[in-house]
Amino acid sequence: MSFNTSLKDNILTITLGNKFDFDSIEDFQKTYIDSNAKEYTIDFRNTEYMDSSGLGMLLNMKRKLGENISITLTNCRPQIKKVLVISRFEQKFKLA
Amino acid sequence: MLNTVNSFRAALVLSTIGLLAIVFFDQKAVIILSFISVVLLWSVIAFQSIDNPSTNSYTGEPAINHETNLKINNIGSELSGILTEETTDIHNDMEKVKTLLNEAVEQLQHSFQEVMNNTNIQTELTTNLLHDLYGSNDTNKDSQLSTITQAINFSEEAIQHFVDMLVEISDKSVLAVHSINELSEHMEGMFSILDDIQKLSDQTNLLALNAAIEAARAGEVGRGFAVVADEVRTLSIGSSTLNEQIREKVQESKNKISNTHSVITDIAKMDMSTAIENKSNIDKTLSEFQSISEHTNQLASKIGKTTSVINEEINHSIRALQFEDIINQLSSSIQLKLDHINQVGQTTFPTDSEPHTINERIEEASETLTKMRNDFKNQNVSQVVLQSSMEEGDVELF
Repeated sequence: MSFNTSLKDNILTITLGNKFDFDSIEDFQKTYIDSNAKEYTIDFRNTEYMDSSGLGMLLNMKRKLGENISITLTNCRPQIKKVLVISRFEQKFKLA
Repeated sequence: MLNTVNSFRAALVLSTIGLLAIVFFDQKAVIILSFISVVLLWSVIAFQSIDNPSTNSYTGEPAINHETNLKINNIGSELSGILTEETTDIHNDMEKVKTLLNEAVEQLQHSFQEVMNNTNIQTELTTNLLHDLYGSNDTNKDSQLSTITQAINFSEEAIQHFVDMLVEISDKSVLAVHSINELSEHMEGMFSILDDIQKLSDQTNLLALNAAIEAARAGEVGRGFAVVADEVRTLSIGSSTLNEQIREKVQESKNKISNTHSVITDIAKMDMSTAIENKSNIDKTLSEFQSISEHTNQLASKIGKTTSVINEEINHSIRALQFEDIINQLSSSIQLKLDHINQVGQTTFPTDSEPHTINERIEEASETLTKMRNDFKNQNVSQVVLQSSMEEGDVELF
């Protein structure tokens, strides 16, 4: 699973692939673990499927980067947005 | 004579109007009164024509002849007979009206009482139904609603708790996977160290072999050294064996970790869509349940209101049935009037009267009628009171 990342104005944008699931764990962590951006944006525009490990990966990312770092989840499809809302992710992330 | 006749006429007309006013509501009585008036007027005119040819009305009062007396008696008797017959019929009809009215009112009261009893039973059943539905006999609708809402809130909390737990499991699984991956890396590091140890052991072994060869070459002098070299070689073989055992154990651990990894993988990669879909369905069911419960409450409340309206209306109706008393009083009053009319018929020209002059008989009749009218008038005072009380009843009852 490959991720496209771009850094602009100290904001790291990570664009996910078609699936955001368990197979992405290692690769996803690599996209941000050594970065020093001030804000992060996860772009779901290409993502059709996300399993529960997707939620786990996002929560791990938040923990690794620190609770004060802002992470925005954007361009979510309705089904994925529904999962995020029911999981109350709007309390920890910015849902755009 | 003319003066007497005129005053008699006037008295008749007045009494007729008076009686008409009193019994104006009864058609039959009106007909009888008209009849009486006509008969009386006619008889007066007849007396005039009888008197005129024989005497001068201004100068003398001749004795009544026997034939005329008989005629007057006959008129009195016919008048009395007709009035007695007709008033008796009316009297009997009024009795029937009273009886029928009493029976009907009794039946109505019984029916209303039954309706009220059944309505009360219905209310009780509704209350029991609510009790079964909400497990509370509290009549306060708000608290019932809050019980239902509370139950729904509990369910929602339980489901949300379940979702939160799923999310936490995902979080921890991913964390565990990262830890296991790090552990696997460490294992690989241990294998490389074990390789280095194996190399050291092999080199030691080789070194001990060389030392043994060199000791043999030295002959008797090297005998002690040969023993040492042999011991070193034994140690290197022992170390190599231990190294192999460690490698096996580490390999075993690596396999176990790999198993753990796959177990955690299964936990972490749950398809949330099913769980989320379930939550949506449960939410939908709960909200339907809530709306049904609210609807039930509204209906129950409407039933309660309807019941109290029915009871109120029945009470009004039962109060309205008091008109029976008023009708009874009015009927008795009508019967009293009929007795009066009857008396008029019987006493105006009594058949047992001694023969007198015409003037005397007419004066007698006039006096009797005037006296009776005054007597009736006094009795009418109570009638007026009765009528006004019925009008008060009108406002209250109908």
